[in-house]
This record gives sequence, C-alpha cells and structure tokens, in this order.
Amino acid sequence: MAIIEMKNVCKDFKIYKRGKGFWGGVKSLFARKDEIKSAVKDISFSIKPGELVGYIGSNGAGKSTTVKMLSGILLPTSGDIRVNGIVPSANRKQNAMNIGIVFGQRSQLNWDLPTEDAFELYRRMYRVSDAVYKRNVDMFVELMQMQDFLRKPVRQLSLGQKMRAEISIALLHDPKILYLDEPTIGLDVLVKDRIRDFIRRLNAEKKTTVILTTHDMTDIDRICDRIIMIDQGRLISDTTLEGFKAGNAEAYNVIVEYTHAIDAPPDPRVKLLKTIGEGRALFTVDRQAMTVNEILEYFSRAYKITDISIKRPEIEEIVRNLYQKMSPS
Amino acid sequence: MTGMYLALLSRTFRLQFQYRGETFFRIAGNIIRIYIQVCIWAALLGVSGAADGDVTLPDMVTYVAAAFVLRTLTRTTLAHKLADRVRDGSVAVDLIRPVPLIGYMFFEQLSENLFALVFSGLPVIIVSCAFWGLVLPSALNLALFILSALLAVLLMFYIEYIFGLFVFWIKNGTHMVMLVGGLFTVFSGATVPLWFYPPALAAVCEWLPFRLIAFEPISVYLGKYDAWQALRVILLQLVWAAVLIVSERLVWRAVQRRMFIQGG
Repeated sequence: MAIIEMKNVCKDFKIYKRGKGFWGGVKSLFARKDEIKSAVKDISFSIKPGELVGYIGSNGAGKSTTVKMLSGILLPTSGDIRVNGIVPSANRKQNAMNIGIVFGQRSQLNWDLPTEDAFELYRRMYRVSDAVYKRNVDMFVELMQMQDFLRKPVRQLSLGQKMRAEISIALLHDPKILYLDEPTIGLDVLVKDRIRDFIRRLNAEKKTTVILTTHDMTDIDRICDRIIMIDQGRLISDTTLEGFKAGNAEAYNVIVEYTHAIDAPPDPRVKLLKTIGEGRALFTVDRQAMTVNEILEYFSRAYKITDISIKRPEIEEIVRNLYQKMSPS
Repeated sequence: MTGMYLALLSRTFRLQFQYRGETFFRIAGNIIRIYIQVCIWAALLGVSGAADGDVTLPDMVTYVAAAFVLRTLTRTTLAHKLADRVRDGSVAVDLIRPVPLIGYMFFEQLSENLFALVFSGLPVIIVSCAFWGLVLPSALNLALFILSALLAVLLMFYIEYIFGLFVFWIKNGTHMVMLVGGLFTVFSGATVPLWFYPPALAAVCEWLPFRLIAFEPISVYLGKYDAWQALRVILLQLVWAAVLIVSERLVWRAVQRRMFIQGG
C-alpha cells in the first residue's frame, strides 16, 4: 500500500511576458501576452511507507513544485495525487496533520523568541498530546544536542542550530511523512552529519517516510535508499541508490602510482585525465569496454606500479555527468 | 484550537515585552497627538461659538479619546504582512499549517492590539481623564459601545485582509495598504466626526462600512443615540460583517484556484 501516489501529474504556470524596453513595458500594461511554462510534466511514482527517497534534479527541474503539490499548497494542472489516501489540495488541513515540512530557506521560527516558545505554539497548533510532546522533545533535544540553545532567542542561533530547531518543529506531531527541501544548505560538515544521522534514526524508530530534495549528493548517499531524478519537469530515473550508482557509473576512475612508465602500446580504451604530481596519474576507463582484470593487466604492462586504486565514481560525479548531459542550464 | 490561540496570545505578549522601550515613546507620542487634536477642537469650537449646538468641547475631547481607543483596537498590518509573505514566498509555510491562515493572522493582530491597549492605551486614557475630563457614558451605552467596538475590530480586520488577499494578483501590497488607509481616514470619521461633513460626503459614508469602525461606535459611547438607534448600528455592523465574511470566502477560493507561490 503506497503512502504517496502520483499519477500522470502535470503542473503548468502561466507567466505574463513583459515587453522589452520602455514601450514594451507600457504596451504590456494594456495587452499582456502570456506564456505557459510546464514545471512538471507527466510525473508518476509511488512511495511505500518508511521509504527514504532522494528527489534530485538541477535548479528549476521542478522539485519544489512537486513538494508543494504533495503538501497541498499548489494544485496540479492535471493528474492524480494521493498522500496517505487523501487528495492534499482538497484536504489541506487534514493533510497537514500527516506531514512535516522543512524548507531550508524558509523559517517557521520567530526571530525574537526562543525555540522553546515555538515548540509550545506548534504543540497547540497540532494538538500534540502531553505524552507524545514530552517524548518527542526529549528525543530531539538529545539526538540533535539542542539543550544549549533551547532558551536563546532565535536571532542569536547559528544557522546549524536553527536548522535543527526547524526539523524538530516539523516532527513534533509525529507526521507519517517528512518533506525536506534542501535541509543542509549552508551548514558545516558536523551539523550535516548530525542531521543525516538523526533522519536515519528517525526512520528506523518511527518508520517516517522521508522525501529529500537536495543538491548535496552526500546527503543522498547517507540518507536515501531510493533516488528519483527529474529534469525539466520530466522523470528521468527512479531506482534504488545502488542501482543508480551502478547503472549510471559508466566509467572507472583508476589512480596509479608508479616508479616509471614502461613503453607499452597505448590502449584507446584508457584515457589519461591528469597526472597528479610526480609518478601519480588519474585515468578513466569505460566499464563496458574493459573488465577489471583487463585493466589490471594493462596497467601492469604499462607501468611499474607501486599502488593502484580502481573505483566507481562518487555519486556527486555521476550526477554532475548526468546534469551536463541533460540540460545546458 | 483555543489552546493554540491562547499560546499565540501569550507569545505575542512576551514578544511585545521585548520592545517595551518603545512603549514609552508610544505613550508620549499618543498623548501629544491627542493634545494637539484637543487644541484644534477647542479653537474650532471657540470660533464657531458652538454653533452646532449640542457638540461641546468635552464631547470632542471624549470623541478624540474614544477614537484613539478604537484606533488602537482596530489597527492592523494584515495587508502588509500578507503582502510581504506572498512576495518572499513564506506564505507557503503558513499554508501548510493545520489552522486557517485568517484565524492565525487575526488572532496574532488582536493579541498585539490588546497589548497596545493595556500598556499604551490605558495610560493615555488616564492622562486624558486627568487633564481634560472625559464624558462618562451610562452603563447601557458603555455595554453597547463595547459590543460595537468588538464588531468594529472584526470589520476592520476583514476589510484589510480582503484587500491584502489581492496581492496574490498584484504581487506588491504597498499601494493596497495606502488605499485602505486613505479610505479609512476619509470615510470613517475617526479624525473629523461625520457631523461636520458636507451632506454629499456624509451620504457617501452612509453606504460604506468605514463609519461603523469609528464614528458610529463613538456616537454610541457619547450617548448621541437612543437604545434603538444604537441597536440599529450594531445590526448594520452584523450585516456588513456577514457581507465581508462571504466576500472573503469568495476571494479566498479564487486565490486558491490560481495559487502561485513565488520563489523556491
């Protein structure tokens, strides 16, 4: 039974075009030309309870539009959306009780008041029972180490502290689904780690379904089990994290350390990317073209090797390659 | 749900306490403003030799003070807040809450106004009483005034909110706010009582809801109306409230139809 179901969902925006220059601007005051821009084109997927899904795509691919439709604040132009069995846009308040949302670039906190106050307000807003409230606050404060700043006004908090507070607030009412829209943007490595661990822990303990949009591929690698990728509003791929890595990593990265090169005939399947200092070089080899055995064989003939590493590219690199291939934006 | 509104009230009060330094300036500014208005009315009534018969200086002082109280209670920045939140896209955060946006915003504003009434309105009233002496109403008039003042708050909030909703179309609320402010100043009778308006302008005011937010409740307080006329004012307020509530629903539905959240 799917908790999130999107069927052939499209979303068009009407954009009013302004004419160029002064007269164009004046003209468009009276006769506006509009242009339809499709932000989301025929997207379908279904997500089971407890899944950790990374929703990725370059800027303007339609990620936020999708999340806004799932949370019920945008109406799809066509198609069918069910979240926990209900249509979000038609039952926004009911849907709100089932979901928690964190926008990395928008805040639910009041600048002048401490985090504790926000907790209190959201507890009332979502009618969280005392027992659940206490259990959750204790858990969040402990796991995300918030004791030190719970009573400080938000304006005195660092970005990392604020983000931890935002995530806690979104989860106070035990939502079944958590949408995270770029939650680690601008954070330092330690805070990123803490947030990633927290989300995995939450998923393990409460079976919370998580949809994460991010540009930080380490987030995806560390949090998600499944990747849905979109580009210019279209679904490009929908696979497990492992499948994504294996399916899209077309090349091996080979780093060789050697004492000296032996004069062997060059192989067209092996490309030198760069030499790293003295006696060290990075190559790329097409996975389809050569097996690991062949690679080893080639390099042992071509170099007097002291060390060698053959690796699939990191997810960051895979995504970069995919983006470059797809849209020059 | 009431729990949430109480939490919101206490939160707003705590927030306002953070700006308590400002409160003293607000009190001083308001006393000066009332003093100026009292001086103007004293001069005007002196010149005209109280030609309008039943309007006396204590009446006008009380009018100014009551208008100030109503102003404090009905003051709103709803359109402005809504415009800001639509423009930077943070209205998205408001819309994912399980409470209606209008309820949340009204109550937040009401909490601010109650705070202002208690901590800067009351001192001003006490000072005015001490210096100029205010007309005290009968118990019945006071009760009717309180009722119509509450309705005035509802009317003002709705008017401002409905105008605020238009930012979903026009994307920039600055001039909307100015428009509401201007209409209020001209047609409410908050600064100049409608008694002194030329007949044509007074007739226009008859057809607009603004006078029900300032002039009419004050007249009730001053005992210018008998009980039946006062009840008529309240009835008219209720009719306007119904009209505005329905209009808000319609505009809100249209907003949802073409909801377009900017940014992000």
